[in-house]
Amino acid sequence: MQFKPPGVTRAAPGGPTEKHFMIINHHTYSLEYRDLGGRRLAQLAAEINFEPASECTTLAAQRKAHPSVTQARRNTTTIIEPIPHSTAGSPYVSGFAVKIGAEGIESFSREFPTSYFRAAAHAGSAALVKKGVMKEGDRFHYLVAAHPQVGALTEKRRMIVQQIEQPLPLRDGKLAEFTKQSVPFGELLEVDPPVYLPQEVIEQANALTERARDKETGGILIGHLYQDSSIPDIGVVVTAQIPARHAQGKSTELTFTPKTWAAVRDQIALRDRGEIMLGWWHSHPGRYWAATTCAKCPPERRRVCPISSNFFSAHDENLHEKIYPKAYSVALVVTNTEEGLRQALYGWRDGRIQQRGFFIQRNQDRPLTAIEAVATPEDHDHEKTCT
Amino acid sequence: MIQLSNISITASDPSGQRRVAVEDVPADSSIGELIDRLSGAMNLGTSDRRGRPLTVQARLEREGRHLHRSERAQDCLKPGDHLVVHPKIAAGGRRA
Repeated sequence: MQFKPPGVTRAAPGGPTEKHFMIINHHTYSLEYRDLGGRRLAQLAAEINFEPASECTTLAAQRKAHPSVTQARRNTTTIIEPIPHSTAGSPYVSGFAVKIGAEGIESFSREFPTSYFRAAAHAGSAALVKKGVMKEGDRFHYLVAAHPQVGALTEKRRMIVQQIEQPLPLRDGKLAEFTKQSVPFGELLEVDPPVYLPQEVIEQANALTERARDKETGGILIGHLYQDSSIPDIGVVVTAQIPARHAQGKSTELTFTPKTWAAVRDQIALRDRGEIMLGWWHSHPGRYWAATTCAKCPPERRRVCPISSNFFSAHDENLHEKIYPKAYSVALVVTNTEEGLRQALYGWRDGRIQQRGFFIQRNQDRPLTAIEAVATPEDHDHEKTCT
Repeated sequence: MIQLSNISITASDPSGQRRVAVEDVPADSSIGELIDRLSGAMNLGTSDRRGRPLTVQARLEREGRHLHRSERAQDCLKPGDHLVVHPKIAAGGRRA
């Protein structure tokens, strides 16, 4: 199917070779909350960020070397379209589709279920608890409704900002060669692009975590994207971690400051290897949390306590979403537990951040001591302390 | 009286994953106004998860320095300049 973009594009600074893209969404969305008996509790408007879904669709097309991304000579467009609910009827939807393409090129699309709205549903439920419509801990269902935007106000802006489409900085390579030097770590799924982390990066992250003791620490993962046209697929190859200088580490928080970003950028420029930022890593001093918060708990209970296990907190998700929107981006978490250091990798899958497997590129001169920690990132169990 | 013309620049987020073109930056606009516009366009938002205002700075690549919010575009920007938007943003373990 050929793609007909509905938008109009303009020339912009950077010259005629610069390609722009835009996300077109002609609907607003709302969430209808129902109790487990099906009784309607409330309906709330939902602000949905479609960027992760758009990026996920784009990367899926790029991994398959689809014409929508490889042949597009003109500005590409991403269209968000609701999928009507087969039984509940209009305006309810069973999800939405993301369609990407450029004029005259075959389009590429992916569908996303209503679980994409889960974070918004949780945020809305917190507001309903405050209003007394629901009680803390109440279970609920939600339905998603799409409403056509009518007469949207066109705000006159003092300056015009347009997204610039950036082609992936791909290098040619055989992913099998990387896999041959590596050992798998965690659950590897076909839907995730393969990620290769050098053993040294894990060792450095471990050492910095130990050194930071009861404070959080972290850094930026840099490297290259490799395209293997024989499969075809794209692999994420981390080459180094850059410690987050000027970051403010506390017991339960790690703040990346403007000076941190500037220092990382300077470091990448100094290395002069064409590396890009592929993600980040940070530590959780779980054993120190357990020693304070869970001091009265017996050791066997502390061992299974959610706060000393690995997880990706709501703040971690917020940082990843804001700073690393590209679907290939990953986040390593090193947790300092009473049983030792545990590692887990998180990344985008179906437009949501989830734990994922990866490959560790072995250094044959040294033993590998990484231990996987399995987490349930979306439930935020770690916030439910037993005290 | 000298007529100051608008300026066109480009900008990116700290990871370089989002890049935008900014046309018609009014010469008399403040860098603070420009940063607010860029933060919105780059999905950085205006507050953190605790509701605190998000601190964002813009680094002028040509000079390798962070600009002050009170500076005027006409005093520090040249056509074709590139800014990198640098938010102060926190990751966090658990409820403090």
